Amino acid sequence: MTTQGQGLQYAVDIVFAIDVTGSMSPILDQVKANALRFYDDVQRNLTEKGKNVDHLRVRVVAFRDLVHDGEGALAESPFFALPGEQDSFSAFVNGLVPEGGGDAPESGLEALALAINSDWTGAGDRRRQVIVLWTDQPAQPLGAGAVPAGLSGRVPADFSALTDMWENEQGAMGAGSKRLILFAPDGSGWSDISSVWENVVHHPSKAGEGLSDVDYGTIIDSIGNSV
Amino acid sequence: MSEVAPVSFRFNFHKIPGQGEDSDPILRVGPDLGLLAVFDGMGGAGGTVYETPDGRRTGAYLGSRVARDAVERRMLELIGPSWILDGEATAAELRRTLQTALAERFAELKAPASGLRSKLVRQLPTTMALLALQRTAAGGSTYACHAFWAGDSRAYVLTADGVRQVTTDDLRTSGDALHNLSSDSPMSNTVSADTDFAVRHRQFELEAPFVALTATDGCFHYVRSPMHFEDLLLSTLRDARDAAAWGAALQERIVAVAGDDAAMALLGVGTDLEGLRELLAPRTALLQERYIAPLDELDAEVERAEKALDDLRARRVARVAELWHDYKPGYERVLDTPETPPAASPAAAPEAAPAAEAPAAGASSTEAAEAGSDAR
Repeated sequence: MTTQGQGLQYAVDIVFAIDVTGSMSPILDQVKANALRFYDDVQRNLTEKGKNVDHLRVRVVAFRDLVHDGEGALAESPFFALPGEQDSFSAFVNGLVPEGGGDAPESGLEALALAINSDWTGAGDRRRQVIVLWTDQPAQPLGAGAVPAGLSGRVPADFSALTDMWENEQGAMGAGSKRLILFAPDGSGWSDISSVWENVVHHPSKAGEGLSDVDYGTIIDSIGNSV
Repeated sequence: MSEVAPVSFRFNFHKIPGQGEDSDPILRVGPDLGLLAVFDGMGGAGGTVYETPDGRRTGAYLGSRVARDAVERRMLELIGPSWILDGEATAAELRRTLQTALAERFAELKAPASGLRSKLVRQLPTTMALLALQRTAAGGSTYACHAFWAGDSRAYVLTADGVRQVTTDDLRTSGDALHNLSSDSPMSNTVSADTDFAVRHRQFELEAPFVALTATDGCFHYVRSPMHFEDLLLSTLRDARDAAAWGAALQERIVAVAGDDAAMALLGVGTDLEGLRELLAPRTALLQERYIAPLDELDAEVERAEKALDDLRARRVARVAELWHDYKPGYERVLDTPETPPAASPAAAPEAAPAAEAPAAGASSTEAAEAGSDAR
């Protein structure tokens, strides 16, 4: 009914996958600030285009290194509906502490799999599902470390299966409404994703360092303009 | 060719005034020729902002306009009353023209290199849907129709049999027009300055009178079904006093539901407005009776059911509160008895009692409870 004369309802879900290993210490505060700012910028972008965001939710997947940190390497929040649950979202983000991880690489691909398998919204006439990932290290190959039993069903065995999971038009994220924004260095995992996967924007850097305003605007537009 | 025709109009609605990423449509009409086209700058892929003498413009804004100007110039050179259009060669020529014009404009922009790596982000990206019409013989009523396109903008023809989509959406998922309304599929082929693309072509013949139109997705992507798009065209024609009023009413109806910029060029061939109205009156009635009225009835039914459900939920909330009010005094009777004052705190909390032994792996919770009961 909403598509005839009453305007469309827009629903945006954003999952932030954040590397919280020790090497992120110098930049984690900035990444947290970027996460808290990001959804605000997407919402503003949509509003400026006359698209009223009726449902906006965010959640966080924090990751370290399964090989080094074991079961404590992955932590997830539920979705927070904004603006109502802003305080809970901020508290979760601000509670992230950089530690562990050992040497590079980290378990970013496992975190990405958990993000892809989020409980995405079915609300609204037009939906946008966004994953934003920050890390300063290449990714550990899938299967390098034992995934906790409770999460293993949501993490594929290898990169090929992860690619299928992302590209599957009947999968958790559908065909065209998804975006993956990578703030990650060139290297194992991330370069493969940006050269092969669709609907990905990759800023090759240490967790977004050196991102220009123009490129940031391009990223926000790639989300807001095509909903 | 002139820009005037007995039945023709075009519009270009900007969702944000002055920042519309659809270019003004092409609409050129001659005695035996017609040329219509729309271009939709792709905001999602072309959000990069460039400094230009006219101010800051997105790549999408610039791409649609560069493409429009280049294509119009080239097509006016290619088509003429005495020249039969070679469709395949024209498609190839349009591709070359677009590549050159966009590459030149992009170079002029002297944009700093982007630090982004993506198959999603494009330089000056735009769609195109173009119809070229040529009368096949002087004085005749047969027209050769050439559709050229890239992306998801569309060309249609409207005859006494109804509206027909004549371009195939360049989408990665190959759904039909109804599926595409909700699938939000990425495009598989679009015009841009930095990637290869194809200009697709389809040729067919039509007997006048007919209506030809090209439209960006803002015109057809926000209606409830493809049938409702035809209903927009026909019902606004039925009620229009002249071509301008038809265009204005159609734009108004589209804008009321569109979540995007919307551009359209439309040309009636072979008759005037009254002739078109007469030609399409039976189809207008049939469409209403067979497709629109049943769907409207169903929609009204859904709306009534949703309203009834909302009312029922509200009644339930009120009834629960009412019954709780009745039930609560009994439920809380013991709570009204004063609490025993707490004992003095011990110096140290006693150790917690050891937890009951966990049930053996594989035992159900019922089995575990029964085993515990036996032990006691």
